[in-house]
Amino acid sequence: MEVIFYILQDAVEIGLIWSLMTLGIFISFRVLEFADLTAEGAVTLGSAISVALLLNNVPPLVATIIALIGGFVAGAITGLLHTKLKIPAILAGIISMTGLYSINLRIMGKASIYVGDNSTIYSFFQTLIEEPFMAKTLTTIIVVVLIFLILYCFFGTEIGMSIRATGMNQKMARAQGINTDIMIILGLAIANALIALSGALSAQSDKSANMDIGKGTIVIGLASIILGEVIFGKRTFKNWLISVILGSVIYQALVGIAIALGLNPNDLKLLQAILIAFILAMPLIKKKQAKRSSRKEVVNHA
Amino acid sequence: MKLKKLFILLLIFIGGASLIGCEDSNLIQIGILQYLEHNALSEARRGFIDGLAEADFVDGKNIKIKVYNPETDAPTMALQAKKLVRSSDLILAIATPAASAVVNEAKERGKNIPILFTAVTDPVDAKLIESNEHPGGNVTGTNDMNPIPEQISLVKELVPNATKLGIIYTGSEPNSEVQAGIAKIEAEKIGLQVTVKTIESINDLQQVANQLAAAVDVLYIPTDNAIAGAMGIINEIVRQKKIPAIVGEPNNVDAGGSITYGVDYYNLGKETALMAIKILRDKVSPKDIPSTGLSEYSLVINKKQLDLIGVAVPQELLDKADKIIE
Repeated sequence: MEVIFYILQDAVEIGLIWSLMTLGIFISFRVLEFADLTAEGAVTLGSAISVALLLNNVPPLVATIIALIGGFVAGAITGLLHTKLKIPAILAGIISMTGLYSINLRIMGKASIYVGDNSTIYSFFQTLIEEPFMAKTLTTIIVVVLIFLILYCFFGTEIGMSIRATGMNQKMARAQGINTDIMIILGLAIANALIALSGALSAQSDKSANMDIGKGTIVIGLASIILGEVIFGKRTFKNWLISVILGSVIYQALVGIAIALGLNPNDLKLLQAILIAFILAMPLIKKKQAKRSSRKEVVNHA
Repeated sequence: MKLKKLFILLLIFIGGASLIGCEDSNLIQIGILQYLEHNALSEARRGFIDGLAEADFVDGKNIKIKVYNPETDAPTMALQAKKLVRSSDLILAIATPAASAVVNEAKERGKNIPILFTAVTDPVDAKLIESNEHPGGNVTGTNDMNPIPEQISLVKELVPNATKLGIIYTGSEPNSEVQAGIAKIEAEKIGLQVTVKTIESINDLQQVANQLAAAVDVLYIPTDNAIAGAMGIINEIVRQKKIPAIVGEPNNVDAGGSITYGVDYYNLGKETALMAIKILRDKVSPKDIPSTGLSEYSLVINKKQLDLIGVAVPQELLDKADKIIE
């Protein structure tokens, strides 16, 4: 029983930090329907900025906010490349991601940097609360709830609605008088701001930033989103946002189970791929089953 | 309907996990966190496990070894570090990010388990320990810093009348910069006149290296990711200008360098195992075990190339070489 408790506890602690990244991926891939690869660079950017600033004795909260702004700018640049220079979505993301590699290396000065005993955004509650799990997770929970409320309110405003409309049907949105270019730029900026924030929290939680941290984030994000949608649904926008956050926790729980099962570490990536393929196929399986059961009903009625 | 099935599946998973998760508490639990699957890192792991076995700490007999590998994935590494810190009596972390994750996790949980690291270039810079001589906390281990003084000493052994050494590296690689700095000091100590040149990318390697090679007697190239990928160019220059190139690591000798002393990761792992044995058997605290590098390095000589450019390799070097490319 203890094992299960720890798997869940770890999943909450890590899943919540990465749920911010998942929300970012959700905004670009789901709300905007934009396959944005900037994400992999933005995670590293967020972690690089925050740790580099912490090492220069910038207050953790300020460092975290500057990391968030860094992600915002990176996303906006991808948006500008796509809308103003007419570069295809995937390429625009790749260009930003490639550029970010050098920028991140410049910010850090080397491939990895360490916070050491400098205080982080987690230090505040860690000095107040003794129990290590709560001490750490409370900070993350506050940030995630705050971001959830801001996103929920924002996507209810006219601008937020316009971003959603742009993602659903760009031509139609333009016909309604929405400046879709600005909405794409703004949407990607917000998405990458969240992704960088997630990177900043993760780096402060791990007390280090390195060039590899962004690897594979899109896959983790997408898998988390779909997992959340399948289990918790997407009836309303609020429900959808919550599903995405919880999806991230569930995903980390599944990884935790795989680790606890003692699977060969080198097979973990394959397992992740199979898991994601399975999750991606879920909607189709669901549809087929629904069809079969409705056919059965018809037969029964006859 | 679907939801229920999924949850049942999840429950079965968790059930299985808890079953397998039960650990035999009689054995000493040794956790290994290896940052990624990589030849050098896996060699270090093999060396560690073999080293333990030689001292009669055998997996399944009196110890239980658990190996985790996150393949550089940050959240997975965090999960694995948590699990290891919770359930191990001693942890080996291979490569700096893994060491940092484990040390940080243990510190946060207030766990006082001994932690060893290996294949870390500069553990003090990574804030794992306070100093090499007095590690401080519950952490110590072995570093894989290149034996730069030994490498530089090869200059005189190979070309006794050499007076000028040329060092070349990529300006944007801080790791190479540090090594080039140390190499310069070491070379000046033995009376060599040093010229240092940097390149921006491999695109200007040929030009810069050619100019440098024309003005010096021997080339030194620290470990440098960009140049490591373009050792073919160095090979050409060595053959044309007929001067040997001492490189930062053995792999680069295979790829076109002339000679070097390098870190053998298997031996490094074994050396780390000796520390583990001190902790497990002699109950020495990690803070009393100085963090070190290897005491003996492996010598690799590209004899084929050196013969071609007319540099005679002294017999005593050939005798102690671990690998000779004929």
